[in-house]
Amino acid sequence: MIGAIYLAWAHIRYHAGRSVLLVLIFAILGAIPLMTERLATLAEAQLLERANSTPLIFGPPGSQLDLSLSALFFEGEPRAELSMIDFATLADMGLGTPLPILRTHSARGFPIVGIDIEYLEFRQLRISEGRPMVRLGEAVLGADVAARLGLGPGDKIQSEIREIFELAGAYPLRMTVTGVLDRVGTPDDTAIFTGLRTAWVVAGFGHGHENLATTQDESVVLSRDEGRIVANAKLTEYIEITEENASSFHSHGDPDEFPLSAILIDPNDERSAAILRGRIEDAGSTRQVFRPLGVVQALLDEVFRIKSVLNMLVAAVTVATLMALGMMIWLSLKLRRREFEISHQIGGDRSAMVRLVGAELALLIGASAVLCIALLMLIEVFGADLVRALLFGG
Amino acid sequence: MIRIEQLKFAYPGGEFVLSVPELRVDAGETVAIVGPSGSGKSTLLNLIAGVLRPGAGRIEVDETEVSALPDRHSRAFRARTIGFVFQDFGLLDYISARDNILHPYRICAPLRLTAEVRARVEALAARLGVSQYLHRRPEALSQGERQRVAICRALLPGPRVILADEATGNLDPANKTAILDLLFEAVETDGATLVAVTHDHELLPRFDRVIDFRDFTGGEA
Repeated sequence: MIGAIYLAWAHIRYHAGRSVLLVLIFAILGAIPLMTERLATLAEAQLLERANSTPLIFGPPGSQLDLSLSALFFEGEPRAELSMIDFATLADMGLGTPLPILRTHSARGFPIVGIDIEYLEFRQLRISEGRPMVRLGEAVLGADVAARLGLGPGDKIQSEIREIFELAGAYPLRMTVTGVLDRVGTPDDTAIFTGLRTAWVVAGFGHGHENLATTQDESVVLSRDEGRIVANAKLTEYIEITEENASSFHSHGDPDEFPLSAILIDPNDERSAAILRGRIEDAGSTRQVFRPLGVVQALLDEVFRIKSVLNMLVAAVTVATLMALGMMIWLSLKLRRREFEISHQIGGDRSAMVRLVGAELALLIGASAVLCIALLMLIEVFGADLVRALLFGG
Repeated sequence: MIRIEQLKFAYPGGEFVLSVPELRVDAGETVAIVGPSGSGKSTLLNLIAGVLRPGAGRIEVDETEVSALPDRHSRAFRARTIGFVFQDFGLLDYISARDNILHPYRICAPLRLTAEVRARVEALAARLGVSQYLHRRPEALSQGERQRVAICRALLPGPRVILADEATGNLDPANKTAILDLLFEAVETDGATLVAVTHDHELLPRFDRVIDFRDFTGGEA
């Protein structure tokens, strides 16, 4: 057998290009189904884990999937159809901890998410550098945001203008980074968290400017009428909140009606959750509360139904490729017919050629298996990050 | 050494019939077989070696009836007793000249690849003038060098019979003489028997005996 392995190895080396090609084909044929299966499992686990860690989502009527994607994964178009009145109503029920979320603009491609500080505790997000956001105009960065933008405590990050709430004059806000979160492998890594007040300013619900009553520059005043002062377009709004101008920031609307995108609810217990759901359902169709786990599971079921069709296509392609490989090997054996004749004539064992070809195939398949295992190990090591990047853009 | 009696052979489905009533080749004898193409000269060599099995008759080589040996024993007998030299050299292009010479030891069960065998390769290669080419692959060798390597391979197991099938057919005149010299030297040195198929009539005077194959063909299967 050693002789057969020696000759097989010599043949493989002599036809190095063909051998490498065969190893790659065998490895890819073996690795692709296993890798996709593993990645799918990781993706499923990550999506379900995120949904599972969020007991209830409260939101406006409409697509539960859209709301889940927005509230859990910060994906999809930011909408804000709830208000702080909803938050107050839920808090008054005393059945759990409501966690308001306002998805508003983005900054350098990452979503700005307005939250209460309790959100960090609920998601078990820890500050790895700096401190949490406390004052107006402060932000805490997810680990991937900080890493990819190279930002840390003390740096500035500016929101991008988008008129999502159809309010004129939403200026970009330059926020101060006060902290960076630990990497947790969830969409929180790719978000910029601010307090709700800061998020409202970003959304155009608050601004700061010089005091028109005491201003020395009369050219910014359009008219004065019984204590009502109207400024013209020359009045510059602040784009950065500082110690000096923080007190000038204010809002013109009713804070109770300031918008929210969704409210996560951490119920006191299962009974509280059931009561809460019952009350919301009884209240009519203007609001809904649901378990995101079921929504995400339904989405995954759809995805896996499609995946099963893709699996069949992959299987068909694999069979076709194996047939092509079989023909390639058969033609290769035909080219070696004279070698086999010579072997027979000089007294080679009947099994010698079988052993030789078998050893060659075994070596090629063995090398393919090693490569396949290496690819699978890469998936084991980097698969979770890869899936996270694919799912959450990290 | 080689005794053939009432031999008849036909390829399945073919019209060709080889018929050899009687043929004897003594030990140490050198015999040239001549005849037109397709007259069955190579077929006879394969019958003597046990590669082909006759339809009728008896073939005895070195007191072994090869025509009656089961395939496995026939192969083992061939590996030990017969040295084949081919017109196309029959070398493997993907291994070195040294490995080609050692090739039978890697595919034939009765032959054991030992340090002594490896040492004999060096000695044999030196004798046949290919020592400096042993590390090269056949594609890097001239025609004459390839045939020398092929002869080394045939001689290494110490065969009792050398069957040369048009061994000089692809060679230039100088190499033809040189190769034939080597084969005859092997016969003298090792006491082997040489049966060579050839078309080259200039070489015939060097053989002890010449058999014209037209005498054997045309029988009935």
